[in-house]
Amino acid sequence: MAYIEFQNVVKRFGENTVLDQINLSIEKGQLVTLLGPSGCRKSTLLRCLAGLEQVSAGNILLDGQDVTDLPASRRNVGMVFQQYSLFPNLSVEQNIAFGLKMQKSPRRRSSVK
Amino acid sequence: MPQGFTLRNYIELFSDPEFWGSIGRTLVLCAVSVLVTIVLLLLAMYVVLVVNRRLGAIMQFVCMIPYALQGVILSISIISLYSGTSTLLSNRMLMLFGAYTVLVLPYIYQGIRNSMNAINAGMLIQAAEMLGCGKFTAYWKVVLPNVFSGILVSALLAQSIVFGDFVLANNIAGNNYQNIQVFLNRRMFTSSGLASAIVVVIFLVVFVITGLVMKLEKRDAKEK
Repeated sequence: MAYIEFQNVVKRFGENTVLDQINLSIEKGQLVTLLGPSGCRKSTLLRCLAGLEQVSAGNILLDGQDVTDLPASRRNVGMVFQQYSLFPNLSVEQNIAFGLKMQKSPRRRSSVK
Repeated sequence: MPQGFTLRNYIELFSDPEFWGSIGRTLVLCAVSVLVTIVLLLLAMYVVLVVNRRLGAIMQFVCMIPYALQGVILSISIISLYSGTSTLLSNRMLMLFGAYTVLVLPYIYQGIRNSMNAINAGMLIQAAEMLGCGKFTAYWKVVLPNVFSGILVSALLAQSIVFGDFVLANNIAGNNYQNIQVFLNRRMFTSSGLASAIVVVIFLVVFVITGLVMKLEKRDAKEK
């Protein structure tokens, strides 16, 4: 079974269907590139995988587990935003440790030497 | 008019307990209305950012309405709408605090919205979510600290609006809750010197509050 699996994924914004019955399987360790012109919804697909967009229909499986209705904070999927989205009120150390802190990682592990 | 330099008006003013009462009432009015507006707006902004961004346009429209309303229209409308009812809102004090909450709405809204747009708050929440943070925690821990200075500046602006308002306080509460502007209005007809002293004191109070808040903000930024 593939590590990431999109099963008949549909995403609609109002009346507009932007992802129509997407089926895609990606194996663990596989490097996949999505190529397409601007606005062809590459980012929307990634945002659906990350949980930042709710799919209108279909399922997304991650390591065999259905994560379609799981919030982004519990999917454990990383995504780098085009604008970096660093937290301006935090220092470099605090920015790096933020994720570990949120996941309640032991302090010794998360402290930056 | 006095013949020369005199502090007589200030002495008379500071020895008047009614003056201290009106200053205190204005400060309470100011603090409560600004705080309530900030809390309500921050909660509403959270809904706009997280639940439905389209609500932002409606919210902007609603928040801008008081900006276009004259104080007389606002106060008369509030009185005619609530005074006849047997609800809790028919209480003049509640009406007054509510009216000021509405009055400062556009100023605080603009300040907070601009700060949120400047830091791209929606994107920051999503970035925090990716790191395992819940939506509300992200809003609380990431967005709010970054818009804090914007909140502070708009609160200061709102504070000076409340300090300068006469119409709402006079029309809605009158002598029941005499704020500094109503007090000034009453004294204006008795002594012009005293009225001038009151204006100077109002200016100084607003100046001191602004200075204190700015100092606090600087100290907070330094500690960070």
